[in-house]
Amino acid sequence: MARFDSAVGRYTYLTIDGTEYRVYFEEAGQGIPLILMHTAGADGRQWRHILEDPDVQKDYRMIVPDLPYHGKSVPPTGKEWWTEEYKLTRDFFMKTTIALSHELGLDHPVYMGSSIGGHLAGDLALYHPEEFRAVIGLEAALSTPGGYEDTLDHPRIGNQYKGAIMRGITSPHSPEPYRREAAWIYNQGAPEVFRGDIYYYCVDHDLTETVDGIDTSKVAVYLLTGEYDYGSTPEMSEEMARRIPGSNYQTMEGLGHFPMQEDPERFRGYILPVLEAIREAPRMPAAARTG
Amino acid sequence: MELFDPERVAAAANADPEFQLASRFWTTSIRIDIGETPLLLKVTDGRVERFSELNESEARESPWTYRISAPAVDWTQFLEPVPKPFYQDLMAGVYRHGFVLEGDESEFYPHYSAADRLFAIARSVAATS
Repeated sequence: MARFDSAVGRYTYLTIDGTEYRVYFEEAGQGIPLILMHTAGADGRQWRHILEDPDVQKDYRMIVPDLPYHGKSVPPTGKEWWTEEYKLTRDFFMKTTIALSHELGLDHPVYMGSSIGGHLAGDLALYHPEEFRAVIGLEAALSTPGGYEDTLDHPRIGNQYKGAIMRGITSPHSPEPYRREAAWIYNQGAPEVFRGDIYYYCVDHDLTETVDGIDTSKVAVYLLTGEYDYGSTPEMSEEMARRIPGSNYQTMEGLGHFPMQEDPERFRGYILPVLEAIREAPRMPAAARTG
Repeated sequence: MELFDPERVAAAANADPEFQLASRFWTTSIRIDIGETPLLLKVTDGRVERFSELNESEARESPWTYRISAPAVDWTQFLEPVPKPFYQDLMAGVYRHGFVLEGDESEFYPHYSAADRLFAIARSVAATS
């Protein structure tokens, strides 16, 4: 008898700004829809441990996409993408996430993401609070300038470099096989994609002047950051939380930039109470979300 | 060198399976400043040929193409068996502490894995020094 994971994968089609994208996603569990977003230059494999967690599966229908150009979501056939520099913009990132939610008919899902995915939590809360019942930003900050560098896509610097520096942003307390797994995924992306995603991380995401517009009476906001994340540090995330009245912040001790992947056992100790709080919270009336 | 014996690090690296894999095609000369103490790391085709202190005349001749430096206090933290936050990695130290990298990035970055393994070995040696 074969042994199977419970997550299943399939493809859907999303049209964004007139271009159709074939997007891969995996899902597991049942209940409140929960979109789980990967980090820059990576893909949904980072969430594989959480997808298999029975304590999440029992209350949540987890949806884990590979963004276009990442993982199994190959570039579109309807545009000459090879004639353009790849850059992930805030606009495209938000549209893709919301298009996926609409295409799958999700009813006000919870959104959770890490790194670029964590930054997106803040942007979604500001620009599209009516779409989500809660957002969870892992490794999120108001802004993270300074890392959009040519060395991330350079013909003399291979993907091994990306894997190596990404292992360096994990925690030394995390199990070595999972730290290596985080690096493994970074060794595999198309060379231009990591740098293009970092455009969003370092340039196009900036809530410094606009964060005051996030209203937690419309969408609940939770922020959690790993102690060892030197890209978006606990201090930076805490500062973001201070600027969002009603939000919740926690430092995840002993974790780094990829909490869900590098030490899922330690991570679940932090995230299960958050998911339980969201599950127990009364649903906001539609008028409150859109008002 | 008080923190670790660089020659022990060199010997351990040359016998280390992970370093041997990661350092293939790595030929370099790197100056590593541990506070006021300059070391020279010389690697040829993946084998550490020299890891030892520079003398004054060598320091004047500058026989290196890349340089890594930090105050001794930062190296002490970096070489802890389980480093505190932002000392777990060279780049973390550059972003958040006093580490400085100088030279052609396209020469050093392709071999970052090998350098990272060398520093992990230095941690092990420092722990038994």
